[in-house]
Amino acid sequence: MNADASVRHMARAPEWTQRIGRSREFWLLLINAGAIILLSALRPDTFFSWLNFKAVLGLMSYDLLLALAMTTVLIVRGLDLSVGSVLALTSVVIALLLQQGFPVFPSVAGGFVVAMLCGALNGVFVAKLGILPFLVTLAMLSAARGVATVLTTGQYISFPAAPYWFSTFARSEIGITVAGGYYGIPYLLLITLTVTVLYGILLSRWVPLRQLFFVGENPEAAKLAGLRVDRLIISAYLISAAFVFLAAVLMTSANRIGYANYGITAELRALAAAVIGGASLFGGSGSVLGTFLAVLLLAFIGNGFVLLGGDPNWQQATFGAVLILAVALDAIRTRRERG
Amino acid sequence: MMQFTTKAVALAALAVTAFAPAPSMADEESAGHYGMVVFLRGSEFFNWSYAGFQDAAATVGATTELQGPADWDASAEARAVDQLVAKGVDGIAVTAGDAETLVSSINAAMAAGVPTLTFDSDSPNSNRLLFVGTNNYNAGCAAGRAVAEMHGDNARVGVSLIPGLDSINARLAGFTECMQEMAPGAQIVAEVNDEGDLQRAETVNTAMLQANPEINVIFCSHGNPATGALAATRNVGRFDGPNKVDVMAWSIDVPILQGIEFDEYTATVAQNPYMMGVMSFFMLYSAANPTQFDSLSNPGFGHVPTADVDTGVAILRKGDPAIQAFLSPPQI
Repeated sequence: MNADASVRHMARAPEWTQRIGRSREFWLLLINAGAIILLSALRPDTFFSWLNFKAVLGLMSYDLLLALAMTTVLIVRGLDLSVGSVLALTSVVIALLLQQGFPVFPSVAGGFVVAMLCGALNGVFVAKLGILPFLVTLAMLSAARGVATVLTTGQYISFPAAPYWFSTFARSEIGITVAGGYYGIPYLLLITLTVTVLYGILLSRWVPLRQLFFVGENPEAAKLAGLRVDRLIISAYLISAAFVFLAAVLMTSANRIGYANYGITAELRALAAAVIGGASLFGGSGSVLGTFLAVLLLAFIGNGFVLLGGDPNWQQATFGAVLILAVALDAIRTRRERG
Repeated sequence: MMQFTTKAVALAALAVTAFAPAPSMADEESAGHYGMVVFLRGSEFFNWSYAGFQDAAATVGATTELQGPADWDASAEARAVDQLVAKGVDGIAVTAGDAETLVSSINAAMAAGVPTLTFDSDSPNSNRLLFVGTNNYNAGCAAGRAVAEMHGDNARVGVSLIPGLDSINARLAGFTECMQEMAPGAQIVAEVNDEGDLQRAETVNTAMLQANPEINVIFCSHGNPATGALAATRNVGRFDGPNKVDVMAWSIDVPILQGIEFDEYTATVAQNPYMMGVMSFFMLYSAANPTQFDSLSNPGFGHVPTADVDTGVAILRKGDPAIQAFLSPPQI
């Protein structure tokens, strides 16, 4: 490094540090690290074990996929309160088709069609008819859960005659031996993490997905710039539905049943994670890494709550308090940034 | 001897047939027509109830009909009750999808002189004759005794619940008291809130088992957490073997019953929906056919108990013939 370069580097260093300091992902990483250290200190025997980490990471997979769905629509100033209900309906459709003896792929395709139809309806009503996302997706929440309930009359839909691999793949593990220790990583987790990483790269690098941010930041300006705003908003809801579909397939496989009550209150967890992770209710921002770290943090809070013997009566109240705090901080941040 | 017996039986049958009142159309009409209103119409649980209702009605020559929505819509149930009253039925058994939503329709039915009771899910603030269903304290008690029988003083129980619900509080009170009555050393070690969600049930039960490795039984205090609790035992490697955690479910759903036969779940608390239907009919029939003295609590109606009717539960374990019966539900 020559002298000039060295001077330039020193001049850039504070800016680089400032950027990290302003990065929500950085702070979330620190908070997660803090949570790990705290819980390890308080419950060293149980928290800091691969068994526990595997359970926390594996079980947060569904929440992560739904939070990515929520993040995507929040970026375009949308909202999707129907993620949990559409998850249930998709799962029920897949399970019913399997129960009727259809092969796996047509059954899963049936679920895909249903999820996409729900996403398309949400998107069209929001983008083309200009109805508030809150109202549209609240209606979808009710309709999807209602249809799932009618289809199943509230009962579990099992599919004992379905191929064995489908009923077991989500819980199957790939074993890795490190330093003499065996570590099993569930496919559920591997698939979710792979999709998350790919989506993170695409959302930050691929122009068509980058356009979602422009739409959310300022729809009018995006329209004037020649972007097809309506199509992009509908696309966001379709992408959201695709994540919900994936969560439904994994959940149906892992539990070996379809159920109309899957995903109850999942929309709140997804919204909390997306907002904590950096997505704004005012659109234009959102980060896959941030959402991942927020889901991880909420999973640690939930795990720590039980490991530390928290009163079950306070579990939902604690979660609600975290959500209120996240939304309040988001509102303050957005106001500051937008003057 | 055989011929004599056969002839005697045939003559006796002839005599009974000759002197017994024939089930004419008029008699069927006089025995009355009764309605059952349910939510989740078509579900196995309520199909059992209606089968009991129908079968009981058939014994006295009465007729029945089933009404109600295929979802949880309690207002649709209320409309169904109103329509049955307008139709002039002789009695209505309704399971309340929502306790408060049904109050005005039940009260209107009673005011119109149509005996109306609730079964399975109550509407306690209404003027219903009585409630026919599972007594939650007694059901919890049966589960507690079963756990005490299995593990004695060594029982260390984790409970999966939804806080704040009277029904679950009553079940847990019965469970705790009866378990400790039989096995004073048995303990409830931890309680977790599964929020009524199957997936949350897996998450919180997994953490509960890790935090409390001494737990050897998970008591599912309602219908939803069983599959999650079972998955939790898998997650911590205590699904089978000497450290297996016994999962006691609270459900007669097919996957749970099959899981008992496959040694996955240890037992389940099975309510008796068929008996709910049977008892509901006989209570209504009694109320609709007053004897020489009116009911003390509901003048103008025939006598029914003033206390609720507990239809009881059974603790089903592997090999119980009731499992096979539940696996073949009636088609309505």
